[in-house]
Amino acid sequence: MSGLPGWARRVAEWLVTGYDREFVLGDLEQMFGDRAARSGRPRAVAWFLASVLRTAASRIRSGLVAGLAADVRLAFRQFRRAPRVHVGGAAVLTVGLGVATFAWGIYYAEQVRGLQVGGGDRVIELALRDRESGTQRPDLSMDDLEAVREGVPLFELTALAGVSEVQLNDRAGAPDRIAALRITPSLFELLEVRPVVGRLFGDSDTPRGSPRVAILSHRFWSERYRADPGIVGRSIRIDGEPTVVVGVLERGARYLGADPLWLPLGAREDRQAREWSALVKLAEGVDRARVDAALATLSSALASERPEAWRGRELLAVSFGSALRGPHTSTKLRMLSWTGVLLYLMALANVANLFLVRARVRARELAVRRAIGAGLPSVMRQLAVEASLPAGLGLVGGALLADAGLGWYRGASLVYGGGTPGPIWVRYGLEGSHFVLLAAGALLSTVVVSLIAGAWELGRGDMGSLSGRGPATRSFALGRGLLAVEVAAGGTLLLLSMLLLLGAWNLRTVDYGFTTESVMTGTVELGATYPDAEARLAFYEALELDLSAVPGVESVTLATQLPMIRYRGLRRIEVEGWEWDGQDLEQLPVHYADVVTPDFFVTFGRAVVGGRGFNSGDIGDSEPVALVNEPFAQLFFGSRPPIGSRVRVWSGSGPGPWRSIVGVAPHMWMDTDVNHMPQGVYLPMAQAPPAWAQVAIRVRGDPGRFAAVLRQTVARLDPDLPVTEVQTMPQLIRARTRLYRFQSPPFIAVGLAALFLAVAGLYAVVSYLSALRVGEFGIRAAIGASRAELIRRAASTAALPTALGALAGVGLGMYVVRGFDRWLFLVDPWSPVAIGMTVALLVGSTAASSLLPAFRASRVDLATLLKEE
Amino acid sequence: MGRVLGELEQLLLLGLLRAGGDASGIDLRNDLELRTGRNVLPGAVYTIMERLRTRGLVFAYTGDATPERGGRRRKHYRLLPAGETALARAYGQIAAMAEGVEDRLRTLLEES
Repeated sequence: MSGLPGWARRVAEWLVTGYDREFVLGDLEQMFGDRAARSGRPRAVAWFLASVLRTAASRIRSGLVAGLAADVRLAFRQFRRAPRVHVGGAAVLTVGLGVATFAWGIYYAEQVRGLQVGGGDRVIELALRDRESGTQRPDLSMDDLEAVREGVPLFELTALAGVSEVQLNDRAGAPDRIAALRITPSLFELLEVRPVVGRLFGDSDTPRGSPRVAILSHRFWSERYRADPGIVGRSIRIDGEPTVVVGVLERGARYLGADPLWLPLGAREDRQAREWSALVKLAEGVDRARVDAALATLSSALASERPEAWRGRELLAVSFGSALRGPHTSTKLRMLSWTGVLLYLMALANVANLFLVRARVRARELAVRRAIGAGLPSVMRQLAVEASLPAGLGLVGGALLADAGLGWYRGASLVYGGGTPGPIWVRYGLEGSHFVLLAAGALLSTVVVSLIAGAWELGRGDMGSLSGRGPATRSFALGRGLLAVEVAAGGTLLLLSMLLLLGAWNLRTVDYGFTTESVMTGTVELGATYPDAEARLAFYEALELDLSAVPGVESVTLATQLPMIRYRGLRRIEVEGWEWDGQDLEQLPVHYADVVTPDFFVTFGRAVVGGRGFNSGDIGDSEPVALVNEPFAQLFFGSRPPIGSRVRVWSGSGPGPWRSIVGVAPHMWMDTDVNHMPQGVYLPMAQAPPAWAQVAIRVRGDPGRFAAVLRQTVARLDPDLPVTEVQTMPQLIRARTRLYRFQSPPFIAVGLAALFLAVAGLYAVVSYLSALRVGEFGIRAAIGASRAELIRRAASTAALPTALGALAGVGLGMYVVRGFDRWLFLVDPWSPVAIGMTVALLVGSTAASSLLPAFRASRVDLATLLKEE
Repeated sequence: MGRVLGELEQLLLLGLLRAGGDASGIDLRNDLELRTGRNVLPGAVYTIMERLRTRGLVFAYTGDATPERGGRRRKHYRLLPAGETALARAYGQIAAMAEGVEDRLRTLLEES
């Protein structure tokens, strides 16, 4: 006998494993006896235990490596044996993870990410809310911000910023209209921007009477001035005023867009004009609650001190970035992000269902492996490795999908932004930390569910006998409940998708009421150098004449707004005989008023439908005339002919002259906002020459070739006048309908993803329930049940939750989509077509996904089952 | 030519050769410790000897159980001709490389 304590022996027997266990334990015990004789029993016991622990640790290390390699081999074998489950699981995770990361990525980029500068997380924006209407606007005046600065001593910095278009004239290039960012000098400090040449704005640049100054962006400096440092100190003309360039910003410095030109916001601007976005940086340690309370107090005080500007209004702190997109879009983006989270959870639930099915099918194999001596840890480890394989594929797929989606969105934002980058803080891209968090959750839940499912099957102890499946079926009520929720979510999002898809389809196929092919357009804004109507008219007539003379040009027109392109065209219009009190302008309807030249309709392939069009006789001295379009005539005159009646157009300076209606214009879309009224009137340009005009020329052949012609013709007439928005009519329409094209696709994507996940979930649930009832089906088949009967029984297990889910989903969808009416292009939010398509898709896909596993279950053969038993 | 023998493999095969071509796992371990001072775990010895067995260099068989081992059996190993050849080749390589520097090596050993 060695004298080894029994407990030490048991510890050793428990810890040391392996094929040579007996010999190792024997050696250790024999060596213990030798050591006990040499140095005493206690020291020998300590040595023995230490040796056992070292042996066990070494075994675990080498065993893990070898075991993992074997597990990976087995996992691949399982993958080949049941590719549907594994590929299905990977696909579900790909979609769930990819769409969730994509949706959250958009929301995060626009609303959460914030300014990536020191203390950027302390920067918020201010907005004004009208208490009565509940509307919220992000625009404040300089006086407003001054009041905030004085009344709320919680801010480290305050700044104002806003964009406007200015006319640039210099010797470096053709005259141009460019975006100018007007800012208070403090914005530079807030953005931590430095100049590469010259200086930033200082306090001396803002007082009235100080020289006008400007700063250039690095890119604009490089492109227009070839990075000439000598530009600093030189004078350029901005809106006709001499302005000295005092600096060039460092590379990449921008704020709301490309921001080529930065101008100081100071005493020259109207201090009470509410047209600037206000940023404040909270002092260290100040929380939002304190700011909210202080702003509420200040709003009350201002309402009593300066009621004319403040009554019914209150200042609000809003999170940085949310003001730019407006509260409605912010809500939608938040909804998008939560929808992404919902889809992610749906994906996890579906994967759980898939692995429940897999564990059920493998119950026999797991029980056999356990029975022939495989330890629970090794079985569990193998299950974990097996689950990791589809989970890993899903993670890679999800990352690729999200990256591709966000990459597309980034590109689309540039395309639909006319090539101008969005605000500096908006960066669409795969955020590593978000993805890692979501991926870790997906991996963990997949592995844990797989382990639980395996342990559940092992714990059941049977090896797939024909009996004992009833309780499991009943216990799967949770799975069915989950399915109902999934189908409901799928139905809601699918309805939204269908509506947006119909809108996208309408956008491609809609008849705008005019021909867009072969039309090139541009815009000229005459500005201060054309102070009177005569000068403006002379310019327009000369331009029309010169363009008409160009070979290949079929017709030319100038208008304050081209069809589809609203351009400051909404006016209050009074129809003679319309009853109103003559005082309250709000009583007058608002419609489009477009000032056009006689060839307007011809250029767009249309002709007046009643009366006459404008002609060369409709000039300033002749009787004021107007055309009304068909919807206008219908609304105001019904079946009566409008010709001979009179209308007048109101502007800020009062009413225009009464004009006789001489004709009825065809219905041509006057705006891309389909929710607006289509009614409008046309006035002859010779009787009301505007300060700006859009030009359209109808040409033979490719209109793109005439862009240069348009620029050159304008330059010949006035070298200082810029021509902007030079593009073909389809390009112009595409740019103006970007809302529908750019913002809808993420919602369409989540809707289709939701359908896919609902279908996958249904497939998994029906598969699982069918697998549980395979014995029952075998017996039923043996006693004469037809195949159709078995299919019906298998599929019916999920019929009720599917039907309830679909009903709830479409109902909820009809409620949710009301908030999206502005995004729906010519689609009624309750479009029967969309609802029908949603129901059909939902019913079709859920029926297919439940019938497929039901069909498989119906092929069961009792004899085969008994043989397997 | 098979895979080159590792250092411990060579030492254990040498131990087996010294024991007359037949020894138990614990004897090999104890001999290794006595001669080289290397304190390896019994488990490591069996892992290496199992590797040598699968390569056809040694033959393994089980002995009788004894009380001082808690009633457990010993595992014995016998050197096979292929094992002898592999050992000779490995030793030959060391000897060839050490030729001419034996004195220097001996000095270094004494100093260490």
